[in-house]
Amino acid sequence: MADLCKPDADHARKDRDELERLRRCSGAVPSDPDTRLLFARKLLDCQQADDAILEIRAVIAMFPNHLEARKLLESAHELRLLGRTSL
Amino acid sequence: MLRSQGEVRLFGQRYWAIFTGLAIAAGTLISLLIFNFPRIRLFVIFAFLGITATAAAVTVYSYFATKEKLAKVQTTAKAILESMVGGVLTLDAGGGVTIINRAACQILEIGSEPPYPDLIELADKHRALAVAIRRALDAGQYVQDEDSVFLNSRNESIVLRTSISEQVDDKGQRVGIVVLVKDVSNLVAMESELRKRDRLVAMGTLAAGVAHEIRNPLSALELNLRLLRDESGSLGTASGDIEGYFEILFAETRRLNRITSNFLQLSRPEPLARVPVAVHQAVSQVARLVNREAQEKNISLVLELAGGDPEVLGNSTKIEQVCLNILINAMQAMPTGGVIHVGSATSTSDGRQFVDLSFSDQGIGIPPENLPRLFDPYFTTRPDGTGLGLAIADRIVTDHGGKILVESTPGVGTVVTVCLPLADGGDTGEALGPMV
Repeated sequence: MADLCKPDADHARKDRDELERLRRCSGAVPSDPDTRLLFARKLLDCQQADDAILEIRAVIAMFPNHLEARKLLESAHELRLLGRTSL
Repeated sequence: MLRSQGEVRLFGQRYWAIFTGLAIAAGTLISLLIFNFPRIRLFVIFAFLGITATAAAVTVYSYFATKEKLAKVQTTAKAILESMVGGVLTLDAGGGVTIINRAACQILEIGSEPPYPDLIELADKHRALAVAIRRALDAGQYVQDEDSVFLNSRNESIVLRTSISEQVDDKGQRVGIVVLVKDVSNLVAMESELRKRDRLVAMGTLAAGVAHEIRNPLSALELNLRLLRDESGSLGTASGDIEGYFEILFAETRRLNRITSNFLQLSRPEPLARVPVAVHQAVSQVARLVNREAQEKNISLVLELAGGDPEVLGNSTKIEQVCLNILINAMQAMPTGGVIHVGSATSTSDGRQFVDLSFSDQGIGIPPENLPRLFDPYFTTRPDGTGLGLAIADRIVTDHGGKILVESTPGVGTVVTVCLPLADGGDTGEALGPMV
């Protein structure tokens, strides 16, 4: 049982580490839309849709014509409506 | 009005030949009458009458044949003149118009029937042309492809290309001048557009490299600024003023980043993959993307996409980008809300079929003096705008072989129409009806 759970635990820890790394990157260069969108995607992967939406909205506030950001925001909203929080 | 010098001369030679023949015959007859040979005299009288009748018949025949040929030449010359796209007018040495074709009448907006305007009247509307004609008549200064601008009766700016040469008769004497005029407004606009594109390409290639190089140190700058702020905060040295300075620095780095990112989008040379793109699907997708924000701003998006889903050859993401940029602009022009109508229709221009996507807003409108600069990079009237949204849209549409038209009434709203050439076999089936 412990052996079966271990990969999941490793995976979750890796996700947390990756999320933290991206959070730091995004915080360090908040005006870089690519980094922030990467962070938003990771947030969605980690089932944190609300935080992801906030992040994407921040990008759109800076870059209203950012098509990719708008598509990601729409996907995030749809996923949240469907009750899923991960892409 | 028109005559053929060759035909007149030909008729004149025949006339003199007949006249000489008659003179010889008359001389012979007079000689015979003097010598008084009765039989011969009778014969000669009949011969003289025969020759005279023949000469008269030939003369009459030649006259009518020449007249007919002259009429044909006149008709042909007139038809050629009237069929010419360019305007032709001739003036005599005194400056009076002697010939004017239909194109010249249309271009110069003058009546096609005499009396034609004299130079003083012409100068009222076409001062530059009248001056050039006067110079040609008085000083023999002829011009070749000289452009001048005038406002027509519809208040449109028309670029007139003029060439003036002397008109000579068959002896080489100057009898007046020939003026060729052509409306080259579209040509000049196209040339200007091409020059603008060339400038953009050259500027883009150079500046894309610079912008790319700026982004990396800019990120490092922002990162180190943030570290500096954290450090000063942890040391307890950050006062309210210093925090304010940091905020200004962060705001400026954000602005620089935004400018370079947008600029890279404008100038980055990307090959355009051409695949069939369903236009209505693209615009509907973009409308969905902005609908939530529109609702928050009390703006209703109404889609009335008539006729199936026409396809154009191009890149769907880029066409979506065009629709997004225009919709965002429309929404920004409506601070108090309203309705944005998105419509579609098909049209034909120069034998090609187009799908015309129109975006009508009820915004503040655009002052007429700003319309010509609307697609210029960095032209914006908003303090927080980059002035690149419409420039990018224009470039994408031009790359797809289309064009963007803008009509605006300040205080009423703006209609932006994106015309894209249809792919072969574009579907224009049943209407879908309004979609909100």
